Formats: sequence, structure tokens, C-alpha cells
Amino acid sequence: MSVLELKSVSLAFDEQVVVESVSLKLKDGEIACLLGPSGCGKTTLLRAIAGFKPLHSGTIDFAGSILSSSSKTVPPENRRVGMVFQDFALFPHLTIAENICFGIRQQSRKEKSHRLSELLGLIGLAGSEDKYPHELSGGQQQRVALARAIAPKPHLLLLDEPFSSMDVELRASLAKEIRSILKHEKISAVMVTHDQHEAFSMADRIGVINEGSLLQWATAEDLYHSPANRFVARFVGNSNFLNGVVTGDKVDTALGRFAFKESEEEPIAVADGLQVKVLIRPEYIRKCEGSGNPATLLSREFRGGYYLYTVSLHSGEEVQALLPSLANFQLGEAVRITLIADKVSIFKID
Amino acid sequence: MASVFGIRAWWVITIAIVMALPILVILGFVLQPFNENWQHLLDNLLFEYVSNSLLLMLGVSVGVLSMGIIAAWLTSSCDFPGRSILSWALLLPLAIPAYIVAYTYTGLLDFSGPVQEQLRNWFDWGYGDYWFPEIRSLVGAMCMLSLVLYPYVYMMARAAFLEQSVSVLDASRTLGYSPLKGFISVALPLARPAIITGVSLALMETLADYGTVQYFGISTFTTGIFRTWYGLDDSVTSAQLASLLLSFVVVLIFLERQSRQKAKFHNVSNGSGGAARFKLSGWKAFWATLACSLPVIFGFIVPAGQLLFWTISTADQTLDESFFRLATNSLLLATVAALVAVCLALLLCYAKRLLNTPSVKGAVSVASMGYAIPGTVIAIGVMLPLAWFDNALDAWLTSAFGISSGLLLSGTLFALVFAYTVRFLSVSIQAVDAGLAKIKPSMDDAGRSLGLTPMSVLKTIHVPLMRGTVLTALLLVFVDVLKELPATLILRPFNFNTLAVRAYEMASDERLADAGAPALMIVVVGIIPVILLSRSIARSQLKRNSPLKLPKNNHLPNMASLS
Repeated sequence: MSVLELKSVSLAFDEQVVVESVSLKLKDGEIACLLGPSGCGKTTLLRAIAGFKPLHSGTIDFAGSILSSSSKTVPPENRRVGMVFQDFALFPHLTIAENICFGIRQQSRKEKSHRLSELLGLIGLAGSEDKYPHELSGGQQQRVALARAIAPKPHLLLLDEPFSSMDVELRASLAKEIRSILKHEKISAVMVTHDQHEAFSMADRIGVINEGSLLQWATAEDLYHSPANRFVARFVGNSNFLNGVVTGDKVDTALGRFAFKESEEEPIAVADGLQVKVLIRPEYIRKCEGSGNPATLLSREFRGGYYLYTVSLHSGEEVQALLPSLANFQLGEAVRITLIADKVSIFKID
Repeated sequence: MASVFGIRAWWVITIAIVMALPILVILGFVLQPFNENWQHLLDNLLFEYVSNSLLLMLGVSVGVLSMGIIAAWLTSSCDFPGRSILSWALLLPLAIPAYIVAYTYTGLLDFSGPVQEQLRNWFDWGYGDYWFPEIRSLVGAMCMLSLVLYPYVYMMARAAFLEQSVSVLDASRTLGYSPLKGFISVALPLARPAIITGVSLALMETLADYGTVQYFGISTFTTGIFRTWYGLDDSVTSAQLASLLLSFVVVLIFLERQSRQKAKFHNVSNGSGGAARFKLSGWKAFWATLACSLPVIFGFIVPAGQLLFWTISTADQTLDESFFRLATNSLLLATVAALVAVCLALLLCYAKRLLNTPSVKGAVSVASMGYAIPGTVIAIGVMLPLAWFDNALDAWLTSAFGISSGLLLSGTLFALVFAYTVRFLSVSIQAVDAGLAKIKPSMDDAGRSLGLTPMSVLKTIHVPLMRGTVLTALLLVFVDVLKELPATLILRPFNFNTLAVRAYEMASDERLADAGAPALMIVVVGIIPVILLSRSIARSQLKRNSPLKLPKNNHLPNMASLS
């Protein structure tokens, strides 16, 4: 059953449309992520879900009732939608306990203190209730912000770039932690980020947004291996695009003949002889002996466990290939490479 | 560089001691034995002074808080017709000293004023047939002071509201708080330190006020000091009274410092940009426009209009040669005092920048204490040591050479300029400090590394960058001196008059209309720094919304010295 449903939502600032006709469904208990470059409209969309931004057109339904349409906007305070802000927005004049209990003020003392200790335990900050926000580290503040937002048991939690002010290592561990807290509390959530790794580690379902349009709404795996178009492919991970020619249900490329799949979102009229672009992820490529395609190693970049090689093919095309760094190849060395994917994604040439 | 320019720490310390002298003298009198006048004061008058001063402070607090906070909240978070004009017009009352506002309202609301006359005409009332609030009363003084002092709270609160991170308010809404509830439980507590700072500045001005309470016949500390000084001719007791007044001021300074400290923690600005203002329409918009217009109308437009009316109606008699002499006197005096204060400020601020030792920093903050000290107290603190010096010199010269030096310092403009410098040095120090902070030390280093001598660093980097700052500092002191009343009354040489003193004398003689021209001139000049202030506030808001974050400038010029 879906809890949140956006139907052709468009948003505008002074008649200038910044989000155009976005439709999506979020299932109960799912964590979704809106991923896109900065300025793509994802935060505006999140604020519309929260009720801060009136709709230009379309509707936002929540559990069957309309929260926003072009004619009405249920105010944020009546939505039971929690939100975690980019700068945490903790109230500096209140203690941690007061911050967390801010949204459950009508509850009895007993209920409040029970919920408080439960949440403090959940975020690993038991004993800090009388501290003030400025006495906590960034990661701790982040957890308090989360606890405050989920204290009233919201139907839906929104997170706006929640990790943008953290360093890289903290991001990964916090993302994992927050995901497990949300799953524990069975809260559906929508997070906004521009960082694919955050999206991958948090989300059950990811929406890629660019220039105000939702390009794809899919699981992380589908997004990576079957992107809707070349923008999504490039935005999520490294990508090579080889020229290909369709023959029957196969496509011919400089690396051989493969079965292919088309984008569901942007289908193309496949016909024999059609020129297409073929997505090859660098890790699809393996080095092999004998039967593979001849290639020359041009340059490389050390990535720890792997080298990212740039390889030139006999067709003159260059591709990037991720190969284990244990095996050390010389630049300029002629090698043979092969592809391990059983189906490749094809896109029309623009 | 310090040694290159020859600035020495002891210069700064000497200046600080000289600037602190009046206050030290006043405090020194606490140690003097109390005489019979003090006993009389204690038995009969002191309770009245203290209770009136406290009541006045209470009333002014209520007035400035209600007007200042409402106006600040409306202009910072709502949108309604006239908002952008009102948001700077609300600063205008700062241009009018409280005593002048008091004169205009007395003229308007007195028994013989146009308002009561009109009422009598309409309803055919005679004397004693009706009740009308007495403007010359404690409540009247509260209203007058509130009308011109609320901009302090407005300014501080508005800056605090604008600086608050939008998401903090949004957060309260996602947690189930309506905009109004969110304002009360989040925005207002967050702005509390700033608001307290604003109130304490307003209350310092209230304590320093002499012109209003004297005119309304209310016994407070300042009128008590005057009465003891002139009426009882008792310098010891008046100095003791002054030191008691100082203790009230110290409490306010403490409050203000405390809240500035706290404001650092409460500063949750994240540079995320301006919030969308709530668009008000219909009756709500009408009430908002009205609520923000009333302080401007009653704090500026009505009194300024009255002054203009008086000036025009008396122009043929008042705008004569003696008026221009008066104006020249005032302008010259204010110019000299401004030059002295700004030169000292430049010296002190450069010393602080170049030497930057604890003793120098301490000395500079001692030298900038004066802003909180009522003019009456400073005047007495200046008068007493200078008179002592004059008398001692005269006695010595008479006995040694048989010639009399007369009053060399105390009865001359020197005393007046000295008192102004003590009182307004902090205004120029704040302005110069703020300007100097914009010239980062790395700029000096960059200049030197590009082959400039220290002198040419000064000439090619500092002088051009500091020009505007110095002009602003000069202007601020100039205007403050022009408005200053009690210190001028006590210290002016015999037969030397200024605009403020003339207005005071005319009003005291019940010739209110004749007070119009000098008062209007003070107001007109006083508008200039208000415009500067509103422009600098507008600029800092622009900066706030741009990605480039500049260091925050805590500089708040002591715009209205209303004493």
C-alpha cells in the first residue's frame, strides 16, 4: 500500500516553473531518496511535501487524503510530517531533552519521559538530556535532530541533505544508523541528497531529478544497471558509452555482440541497423587471455583495491575499466579484455 | 610597525586615564563624609528620585518592548503594504531628542494647545468641564521616551529575527506549531539576548535624560543632581548622587554585556537566505500597516510637523542674526568635539591593532566607557577637577606673582569639549574599529611583501579605505554633540548658547513656539545618521543573502543621546 503519492506535481516561483509534473508513489515503511545535482528542484519538492510550498498544479496525497493541491495546502503543523533540516535547526535556547520533546508537548509527563529515554537510547545519547545543542558534536546534533523529528511518531519523515555538513566517514556510518532507526520505528521517509553514495546506503527507492523533472524512480540496482537515460547513467557512477548497431535482439560494439535492454522510461524504436549508445560500466570489464578483445592501456588512476584504467580499443574508442590493483600492468601494454554483463543498456544517440 | 609610527602603550593608557578622570572623581566622592544635605536628601527626596527613575524605566521598558518587538516581527516576517518604507522609517524617531518630542506634545496637548481647544469648540466645554490626560506627568514622560527610544529594540530585534535560520522556524511548524506559536516559543526566545541589549540601551538613555523629566517636573536622579548642584550649591552631595546614578548604569551595562555574550550561542544564522514572508491581505494587512505606522507617526511625523509649524509661524522673529550666531556656535563646537574624538579614536584603534596587548586593549575599553554615563554625571565629573585646578593655579599665581589667572579651564569651551569627548569617544571608537576591522592584517602584509614601506601601506591602503569610516565617525559624534543638553547646560561658558540650550530655555520660558527653529535644526541634522544607519542595515541584509559571508559587525552607534 502506498502512503505518499505525488500526482503530476508542478512547482513554480513567480510563475517560473522549477519542478514539472512529478509523479511518484512511496510504499508504507519505504525510504526514498530524491537524488540530483544542486538546483534541480529536489529541495523545493521536499518543501512542498512538508507543506511549506504551495503547488502550482497536481496533488500530493497522503494515505488517501489530499494534503496539497493547487487550491489548498494543509499547513505544515497539521500534516504529521517530520522534517530533519540541512543545518539541523536545533533550538539553541533549549536543552536536548526540551528539543526532543518540543513536538510532543501535549503528552503527559510520563509519556514524554518514556519517549525521551527511548529515543535517547536509540540515538546513543543517553545522559545528554540536559546539555545544550552547542555542546554536542555535529554527528550528535544530527541524531538529536532526527530524534526530535520522529518523537511525535510522524507518518512520514523528510530529510533535507541531512549529511551535507558531515565529513565523509561520519556520513556512511550515520546513514546506516539512521536507516536502521527508521526501519525500527517503521517510518516512511523521503530524503534529498546530491550524493549517490548516501542515496545508495539509505534508500529503498531512488528518484533522480534533473532540471525539475523526475527522470527515474527505481531501486538503486535498477538505477545503476538500467538507467533511464544517459544523464542518469552519468550521474550515478562512472560510465562508458560505446557506439553500437542493433542487429535483431543483439547489439554490436567494439567489445563484441551482446543482448540488450531498453530504458522503460524512454523507450526507443529498435530496428535493425539502428545506431545506439551502449552503456558499459568500468567494472563490467575483465582482463582475459586469448579470446578477448585487443586493447591498449593508456593511463591509470589508483583507487586502492582497484586501478581505474583508461583503455583504447581497436575501434579508436576509449573506455574506462576497473581492474584489481594486485595485478600490475604496464602502461602501453597490449592486453585482451572481455565483458561480463549478460545484458547491456542501450540509448538513442542525441 | 608599532615602533615605526612611534605609538607607545603609555600614550594609550594616559588617554584612558584622562577619559576616566570624571568618573573616577565622581566615584571618589563616595568616600567623602556625607553632609547634612545628604541627610535631607535621604529623608525627603531620595525615595522620590529612585522610585520615579525606576517607574520611568519600567514604563519605558513596556513601551519600547511592545512597539519595538511588534514592529520588528511584522517587518521581518510578514509582507504588507508599505513594509519596505516602514522598515526604515521606523528608525526615524532616533533623530529627535526626547526633550524636543516632549516640547512638541506639550504644545499640542496642553490646555491651550490645538487639540483641547478643538475639543472645547466642538463640545462647547469650558475650563474644568472635562477630563483630559495631563501630558506633563510621569506617564507622559514614559510615552515621550518610549516614542523615541523604541528604535533601539526594533533595530536589535529585527536584526535578530532576520538572522534566525529559516529552518528553525520551519522545524517548529513540522512539529505542530502554528506560525504565531512558533514565534512565541522559538523566534522570541532566540531573539531575547538582542532584545535585552536593545532595552538596556534604551534604559541607559532614559537614566541619562534630563530635558524631558525637567520639563515635565518629575524628580529623578538627573533633576536631583541639578537641584543639588545649583539649588543647594553642594558639589559633594551632587557628586554622591551622581555615583548612585552610576550604580544603576553599571547594572544596565552588565545586563547588556551578558546578553551580548549569550547572543553568540543563540546565533543560529546559517546563511541559508531569507525566509518567504507571510503575505498578509485584507484586514490583517491593514492592522499590520497601522501597527508599524503609528510609532513613525507619533514618534516622528507629528513632532517634526509641529516643529516645522512653529518655525514657519515664528520665522520673522526667530530667524535673525542671533539665531545664526547660535547655529554657528553649535556647529563649530560640534565640529571641534568631533575632530578631537575621532583623532583620539584613530590613535586608540591603531594602537590596539598594532600593539594588541592586554593593557592597551583594557585601556581602550576604559576610554570607551563614556557612552553609558549620563551627561549630567560627566559634566560634574569634569567641572569639579577643573575648578579645583583653576582655583589652585589662581591662588598660587596670586600669592607668588600677584596676578590672577581667573578661570582658565573650567569656565571655558575646553571643559565642554573635554566632556563631549569623554561622553562620545566610544561612538567614534566603535565606528573606527568597525572600519579598521575591514582592513585585514593580511592586507598590510600583502602590501609590505609587494615592496611598500609602512608609510606607503598607510597611504595607499589605509587612507583610501578609512576615508568613509572617518567621515561616518565624525558625523555621528557631531550629531550627538548637537543634541546633548545637560552637560552643555552645566559646562557652557557664560553667555555662550547652543541650539539645544536655546530650545531648552525657550521651552522653560513657556515660549514653545520660539523653541521650534533651533529644535528643528537639531532634528534635520539628526536625520542624516539615521539614513546612514538604515543604509548600512540594508547593506548587511544584502550581504546576508549573498553566498559571501562577511564577519558580523556588532557596531551599534549610540544614535540618540537624548539626555
